[in-house]
Formats: sequence, structure tokens, C-alpha cells
Amino acid sequence: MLPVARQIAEAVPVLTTGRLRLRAPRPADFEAWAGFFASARSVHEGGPLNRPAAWRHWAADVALWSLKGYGPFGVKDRATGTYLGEVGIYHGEGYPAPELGWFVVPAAEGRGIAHEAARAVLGWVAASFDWPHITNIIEPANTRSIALGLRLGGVIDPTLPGIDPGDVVIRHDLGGIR
Amino acid sequence: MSHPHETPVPGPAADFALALSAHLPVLETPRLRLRAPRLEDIEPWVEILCGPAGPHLGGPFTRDEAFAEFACACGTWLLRGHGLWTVDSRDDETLGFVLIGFEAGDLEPELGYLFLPSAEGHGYATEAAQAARGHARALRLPSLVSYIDPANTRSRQLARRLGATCEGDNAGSNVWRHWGAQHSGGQA
Repeated sequence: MLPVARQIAEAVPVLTTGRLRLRAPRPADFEAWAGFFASARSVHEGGPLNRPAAWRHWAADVALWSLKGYGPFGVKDRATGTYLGEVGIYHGEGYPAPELGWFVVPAAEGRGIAHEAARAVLGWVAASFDWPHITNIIEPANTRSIALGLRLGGVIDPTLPGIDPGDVVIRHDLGGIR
Repeated sequence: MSHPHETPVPGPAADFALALSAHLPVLETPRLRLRAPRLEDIEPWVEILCGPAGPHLGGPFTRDEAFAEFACACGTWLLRGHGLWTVDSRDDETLGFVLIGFEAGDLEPELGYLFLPSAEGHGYATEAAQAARGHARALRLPSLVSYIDPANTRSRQLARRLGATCEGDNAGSNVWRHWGAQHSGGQA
């Protein structure tokens, strides 16, 4: 890794939870994304995409850090160092505002990984920024993600804009976390 | 139509973005300054990608597609340690962009240059690309190429002026080699 990459990556916060370590994305994380976007699991996220298109999508998310001051965290298992997925603040084309989003690799599903990581990110956002709330923007068919947004304490707010018509928008008030 | 994703969220987030961007190298030439890209640079970027040169650059692009291209060219700074610079004149007028880019599917790092039509004909692209090329040398990148649409005469001439040689095709583009050999540039 070239020094500039290391300097930026080290300037991104590291969040630690009981089982997880959240840190700046690394190039090796891309393999999980290439696999995700090659699979039918990516239909809720604009997929499937081939490898170059998946790279463009992912690298554009990573760029949020230096362009906007927030972005995605790579999630690792503290005990084993295994890459488990990505949770963070996304803000791609068409997003009305910064969004809390999550992704876990198939092997990490059903273990509360996304929940644990998202709670840490919510706490970081509340402590770092002066935003009144942050939202999840979720396709109505993505029932697992909607359930997780609600389990995190969010409420469905039909008055807030989504990205596509029919999107479910879940609002997390940050005042109560601060 | 509004573009909220192109607008910085002011306050601590924007401050942190500036602090992270301060890690990017700034290159100075006699007439130009190559600096970290900022969100507001999307306007000249869109003017280039959505303008007449768009089809030479992998387009035509919609405004949103152009934004994604901009962001992904910026993302390689954190991932690989090289990426996109905005090129300003010494009186802070943005003239264009140069990049040491990399995408999955590319075989090696790429030197690219994109300038506003109004900035053409002054040798700015040559001056900026020479600076970026020198930086790539200093980074000891094992190889560097430019992928150029065969129909893009100006870009071909600039690659030749920089000392690159055309060695063949990759996915419809001519591969202009600055140095090194294929498969030595890393992977993604």
C-alpha cells in the first residue's frame, strides 16, 4: 500500500464493539463486493454487476470519505480478522441525504453482525456530526433490512424522501443517542 | 432538478473531508497546481464528461453517471494511494483533471487527462500530465499506460508527446505504454 493510502486510511476512525472492528475499507475487501454484485443477492442494490462495474460502484462509495467526511467502514471479526461486510454512511447518486447502510457476507448472516456494527456507526454519527437524524432507504421487498432498521430503534417516516418511488424510509433520531 | 448528493453537508463532516483530503499530494508546475478534488469540482467534470469529449472517455454519460465516475476516480486515493487531481491555473481557475487511475478490469495503472474545451490549445494538459507522470515515477509504479479511444486524435498526440508508445488494443481502446510491462501493475 502506498503511503498516501495508509495515511488516509489511518485517519478514518476505528470503531470497536464486542465482536467487531470497523475500519477504513481496504482493497482486499473488494473481493466480497465483486462476489456480492455477481450474485442474485445484489438485486436490491442495483445489481447484478460485472467486476469492473462493481469496482466503480464500490470505489465511489469509498471516495465519500475524502469528498464528504463520512463513508463506509469495513467490518472485521476482532477474534479472527475475517472480513464480515461493510456498514457506514452512503451518499450516492440520487440519495436525498446521507444514509445508514449495511452489507454482510453470506457467512456472517443471521448472527447480528449488521446490527452490532450499525449501532456503533449510529453512535459515531451522533457523536461526530450535528445531524438531527439519519435514515435508511430500503426497497420494500428487502424485508430483512427493514426489520433490522426497526430493531435498531428506527421508525418508518413516510414524510421523508427515498431514492425510488415506494422506498421505505426509516428515521433514526440522533438526539436520543447523544 | 436538484442534485443533493453533489452538495457538501456543511459543518463537522465537511471539515473532516478537508482534513482527509489534506493527505493528498499537491503538485505544482510553472503554470498549474494539481490539488485534491472537492465536491464542487463536479461542475467542470460534468462539463467535460457530458460534453463533446464524452464518447471518447467511455460515455456518453448522464450527469449521475459522470458523478459516479468522478467519485470512483477519487476513491483510489484511499484504496491505492493514487487517484484524481483537479488542475487549477495559478489564479485558481479550474482547467481540467489528471489522474493516475485504476479499475478492476484494467490490467495496470492508467494515466488520464481531461480538460475543459476552453482550456485546450495552451499546453496545459501536457504540463499537468507530465507532472502526474513524474509523480507516478516517484511512486515507483511498476507500469503505467494510457487507454485512448483510437478516434481521439488530440489525446493520442499528447500520449506521444509524453513519450508513450502505442502497443495494441484492450477492450476497444489503444494501449499507450509509458513504461513497464503488462501484469506488473497490481490487481483488483
